[in-house]
Amino acid sequence: MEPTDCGMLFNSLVFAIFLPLVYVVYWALGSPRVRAQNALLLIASYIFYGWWDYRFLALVFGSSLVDYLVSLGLARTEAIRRRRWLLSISLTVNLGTLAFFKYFNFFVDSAVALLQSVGLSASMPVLHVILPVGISFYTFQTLSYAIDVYRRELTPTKDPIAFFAFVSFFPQLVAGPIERASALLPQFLERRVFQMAAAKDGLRQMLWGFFKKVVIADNIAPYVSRVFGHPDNFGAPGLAIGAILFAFQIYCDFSGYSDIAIGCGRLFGIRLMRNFAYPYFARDVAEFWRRWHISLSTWFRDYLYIPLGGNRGSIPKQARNVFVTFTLSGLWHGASWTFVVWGFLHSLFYLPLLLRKKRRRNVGPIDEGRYLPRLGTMVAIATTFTVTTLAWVFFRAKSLGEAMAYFGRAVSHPVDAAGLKSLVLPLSACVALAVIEWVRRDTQHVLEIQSLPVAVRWAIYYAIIAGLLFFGKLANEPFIYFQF
Amino acid sequence: MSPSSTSSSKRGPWRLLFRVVAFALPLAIPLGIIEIQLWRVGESWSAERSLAYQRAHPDSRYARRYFSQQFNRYKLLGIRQHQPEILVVGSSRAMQFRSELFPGHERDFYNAGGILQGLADFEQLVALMHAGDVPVPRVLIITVDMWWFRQGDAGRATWLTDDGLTEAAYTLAGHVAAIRAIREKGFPSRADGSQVIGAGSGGFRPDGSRSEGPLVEECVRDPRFVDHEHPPIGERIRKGLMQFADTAGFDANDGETFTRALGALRAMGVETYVLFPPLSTEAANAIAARGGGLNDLWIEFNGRFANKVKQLASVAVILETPDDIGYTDEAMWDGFHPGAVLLTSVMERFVASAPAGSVMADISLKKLRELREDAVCPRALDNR
Repeated sequence: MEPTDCGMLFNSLVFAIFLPLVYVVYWALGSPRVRAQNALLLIASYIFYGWWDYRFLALVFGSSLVDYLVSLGLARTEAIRRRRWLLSISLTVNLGTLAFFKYFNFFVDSAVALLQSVGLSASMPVLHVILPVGISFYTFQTLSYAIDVYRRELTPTKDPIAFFAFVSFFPQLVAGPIERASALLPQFLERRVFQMAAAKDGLRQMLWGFFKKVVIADNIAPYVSRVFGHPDNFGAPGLAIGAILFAFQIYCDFSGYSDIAIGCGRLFGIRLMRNFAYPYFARDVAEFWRRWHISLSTWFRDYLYIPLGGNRGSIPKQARNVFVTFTLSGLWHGASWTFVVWGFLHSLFYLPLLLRKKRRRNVGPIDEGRYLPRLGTMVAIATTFTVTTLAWVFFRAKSLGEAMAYFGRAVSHPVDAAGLKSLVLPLSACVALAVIEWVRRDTQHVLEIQSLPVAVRWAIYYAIIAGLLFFGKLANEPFIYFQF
Repeated sequence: MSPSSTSSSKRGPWRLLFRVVAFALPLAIPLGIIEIQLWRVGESWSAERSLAYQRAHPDSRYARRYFSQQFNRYKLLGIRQHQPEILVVGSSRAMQFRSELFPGHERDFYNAGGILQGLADFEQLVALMHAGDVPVPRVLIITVDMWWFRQGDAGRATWLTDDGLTEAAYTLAGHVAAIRAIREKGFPSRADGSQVIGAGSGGFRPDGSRSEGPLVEECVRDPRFVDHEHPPIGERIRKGLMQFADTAGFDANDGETFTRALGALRAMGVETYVLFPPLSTEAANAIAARGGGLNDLWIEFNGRFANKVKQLASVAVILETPDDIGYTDEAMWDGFHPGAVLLTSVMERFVASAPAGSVMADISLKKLRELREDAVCPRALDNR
């Protein structure tokens, strides 16, 4: 299965025309015409999604329709059996669609491998299914709506246009943040007032997102490909830098997308949830998951971890909940054992915190008011970054064998500095980014600079735009998370 | 909400738009001027527009310097537009075949030199002809490069695909690359009244062949051999760079792929004329001196593989150095690009061995000799 990558990317010329056009028509309709604005957003979102492949529209439409009808059904009945039956329809349709498009061949291949490992030969069908872009994101979003209605935490809407627009809202449709209906849907039902400060901040956040994506992530990508593609050309130092570069590549790629999506939402008077909060300054793995892909980690927390029992019950039961949650979160990323191992490793890293009941040790700001971190903080950040970066090797590798070969090469050539020189430049860029983020770690995003004088702000904007123009890779490089 | 804040929020979106435009103006004005100039000099013309212009202007040349030249797109569209009976394909080493070398058939000729960067492109081109996506010529002249058959190469993916054929002038990346190029190449310009599409020197003539531009004048002044490639071919071989990186030798599977494609062309009724273009004597000596797998590749390519090709092609001319056809290195533009004068002799061999009834057999050997005798320098027929 291959994700397609020829759609309307944020970093494409067609999106640069599409966005201002939708903005102008949206505000020309005016705040009082909420339904008309919703209809416009719905049409725009379907055009945006259909740009990849119009056939995918049937999926997003079908998924929305099922949850819309299921939720209306849930509102009309108090009978527990009927409510469960209705919820099971939503779960079956959404997870079934996901399983078919994303996991069918993975399960078939794994079953065949398992049978072969016990000496049985097996032949099973392999389907050439195109992976619809963003399917994992919007199915989880619409699923959470049905579950919230089932739990009576949310009153279902009868307005189909608002609901369909909520599911397909184009800035976050294909790579999140995975919004909760309780936070986003009301914004589609109420009049949206344009707020200049928020819109300007949205533009700043978009600018920073573009910078992270096209200047940092896309420029690092060839170096990462070189190291992961030919690990035999490098020794342990080079392989370590390769893994660090990938850690920054995926962070800048994905958080860049989230920044653009959030900023874009604010132009339409819609507030999307924060998805990244400087994750590489996390002092332990628990904090990492409160800072990395927040919309997904909280989704798994609320709809899987807590229903499983969460941190209630015996330690083995709690450990089981952690393993199940992290492993399934790994599988969510892709139909491959590398993602499963990645998730499993995170559960292993999390386990000591669970056993020592220190999961929530680091919930506050990081060394507030200090320019330099304390020694203890520095050690904690470095340790967390190291273990998460080790796990990223599995995430990046095409197979478990490739990941093991990567580590094997590092172990067998521990002091070999081969290939190191070529990696210094991208590593320096990552260090520079880390320094900037450290200085700005108490803000929602790095460019939250509204308090600076206009001249300074504009100088910063122009500098960033010059960076985009002269150093950005503007060749429609798709975002990594589109494949999930 | 107060009435004033409501009206403020009503105007807000337009105020923001105005501010964004005001902010963008200092950037947009210089960018706009650059874009206008890129258009004026023809840099940002699409290949379609360029080809249409060339059809109406026989002395025009397509010579992008800031935008990617996109040989693949320009030449593929050129083949479709010209629908030639005689088609030349190959790498840049095929580009000196020009319409003058086909007296009486100038209008039936098109040179798509540059379209094949490797074996995968040749396979793809044949597949496109087979599928009817590219017109099938009566005569196909193919130049073949030794490095298409390097053992151990993963193989370059073909650039004759839909993705590879996106017009650079229509993409943001294409425009950004052109603007970035201004830093090193200066502001784009071209001589007044010239019919050059783009700001480059030389460029492609309407028949698809390459004009060497100022290099011809240089050759007229001083015809001695100078390797103009960067880095020069001799140096590439000695240092094992680019096409001449270390290899284990000739890849027999690649050889099979090539002969299979030749067979497919024959099945389509196409006469195939294959040329192994020469290397300069200096470059050929450098290969022998380097030895190893590269030399093995060179020997196998010009030996057994060449013999196999001779059996399958309508006509094959195998040249290791210019000396093989009575020339010196002065007939070469650099270490591996033969000049048009040398190609008059190649054409003589093609014509002399062409099957009866072939359009190639019509070509006047006398006119080819006259062309050679009237050449302005050892490697250029004229200054066009």
